[in-house]
Amino acid sequence: MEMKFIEGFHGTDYNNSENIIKNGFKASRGDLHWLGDGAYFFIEGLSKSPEIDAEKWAIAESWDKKQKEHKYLKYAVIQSKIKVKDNLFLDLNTDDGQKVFGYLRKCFITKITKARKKLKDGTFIDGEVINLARKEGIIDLEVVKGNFFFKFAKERIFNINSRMPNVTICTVFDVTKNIEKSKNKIIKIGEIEDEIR
Amino acid sequence: MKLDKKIKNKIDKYFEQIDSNEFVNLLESKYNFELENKITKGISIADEPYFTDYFDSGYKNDFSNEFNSEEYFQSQQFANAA
Repeated sequence: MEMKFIEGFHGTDYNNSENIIKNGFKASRGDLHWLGDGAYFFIEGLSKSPEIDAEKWAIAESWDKKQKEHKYLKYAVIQSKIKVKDNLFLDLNTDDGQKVFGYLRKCFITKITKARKKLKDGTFIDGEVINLARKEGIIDLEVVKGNFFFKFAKERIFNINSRMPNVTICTVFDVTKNIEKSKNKIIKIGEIEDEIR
Repeated sequence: MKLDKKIKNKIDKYFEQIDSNEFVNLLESKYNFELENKITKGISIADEPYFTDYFDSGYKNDFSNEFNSEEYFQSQQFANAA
């Protein structure tokens, strides 16, 4: 089976970045909105500069909306090498990938419907359909890729909502298997400024 | 990854063997899904068989060509002839 190699960029608090370089990534859990559990990366696709997307994300995420202050004042962008076998890679930007996901989602909805239940209004099921497929062993999945609309600082400040995707991301479930830890490297360190990007 | 016979069979096997209520319990307990009793507006309880049939038939209609090579072949011939 052919192996796929992807270059991913992860933007984060500078203090986290040192820990990631030393100990590797940790998969985030419980995310209902995107592609399920895993470590998230910006990759080349809709955007031709995923490293800039990662930087913008790190800057946007530094702001604590509730406390009205920055959570961190220094950010970093980490470059990672992701490898995955073709048959374990779900690319939602392809017709093939959409068919796999669409079929899973239909089965998921039908089961709920047959139990005379419905989802609470506003629930996003995408990430959990992927989590279910992987965790229950329905299909073997290691890396998932898709296009989304991400709100960076500018979009958050001006309340810009859109359904048109602006970035391509991927999630890696098993960070020890699909990411070569020794090849993780910090490619940019920056200070949080008040400028809008 | 593509929806070939092997992947489709694996998905079918899982969803055929799990009971609907068991599936709902799994979603609520392990995946923290918040589910409500249906149905409120738009589709009445009486319409529910139609609703589930719609999804069931959706599987067949969407993917029949890919899993019935003869049918697919004939459809291609028909398309070429046209």
